[in-house]
Amino acid sequence: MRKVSKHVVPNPSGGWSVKNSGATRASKVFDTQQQAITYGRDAAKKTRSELYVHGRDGTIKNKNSYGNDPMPPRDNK
Amino acid sequence: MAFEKNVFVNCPFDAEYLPLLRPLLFTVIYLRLTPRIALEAIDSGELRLNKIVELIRDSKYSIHDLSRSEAAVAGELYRLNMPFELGVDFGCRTFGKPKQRDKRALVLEAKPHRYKASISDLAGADIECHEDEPYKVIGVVRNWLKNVCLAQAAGPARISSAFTDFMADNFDALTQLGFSPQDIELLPVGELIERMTAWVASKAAAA
Repeated sequence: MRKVSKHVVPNPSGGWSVKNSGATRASKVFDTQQQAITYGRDAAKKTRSELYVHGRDGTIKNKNSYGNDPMPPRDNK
Repeated sequence: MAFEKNVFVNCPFDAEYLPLLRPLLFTVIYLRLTPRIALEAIDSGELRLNKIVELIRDSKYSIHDLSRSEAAVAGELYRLNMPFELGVDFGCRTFGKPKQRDKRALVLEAKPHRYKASISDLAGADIECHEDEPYKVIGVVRNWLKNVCLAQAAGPARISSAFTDFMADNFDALTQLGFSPQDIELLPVGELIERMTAWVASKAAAA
């Protein structure tokens, strides 16, 4: 089953939200995008999931994986 | 019955408008209607205006965005394609076949009442403002489609959330196919429509 990812998106009433993939409602709303990114990064680390930072138009400006690296480093020992 | 499901989209075809075009197209597709846009098929042998007339004739619903009709800088000519195509659509509704008398149109603007200065004949038409806000386009288009043709429609918040999820899934899928972030931003509109349609269908099948 696919892990729930975290998304930093513009909030319709102003500011920026962090929401889970598949969820209609935001987990939390912030005044600035940077505050939302900081919260979203911690939440993604806790759940070992991915964080997508969206622009005002929904495009992906940045993506980071926390514990879901599709190409993990190999241990050659 | 394609006529009943088709939504003709009349808007600028440049990168500056893509932030509004993507949520507009996604909303139409999410609500199980079919966007028809002159960019969907590039056929250099077909006269552009013929293609547009064909799309207008085959679409019961139309969305015309006049927000980019004004010149951006002093001395630049303003753009007449969108108002012209709105006129063709109005003519089709007025002089067309009986089924075309039922055509409905939404006119989008960036600012309230601005259209009155340039095209005051539109007074009384369905005109809504998106304020150049991409996520606001979703609510405006959704509410109009619900009003003119849908018995039930998901709320704007659900469509906005699905749009966000699509953009992330599409980013991952295209990255895996070797697209750069810039390639993804400038994905051809026909391909974007295909991918949105497939994504919405896959989510509906999984539900």
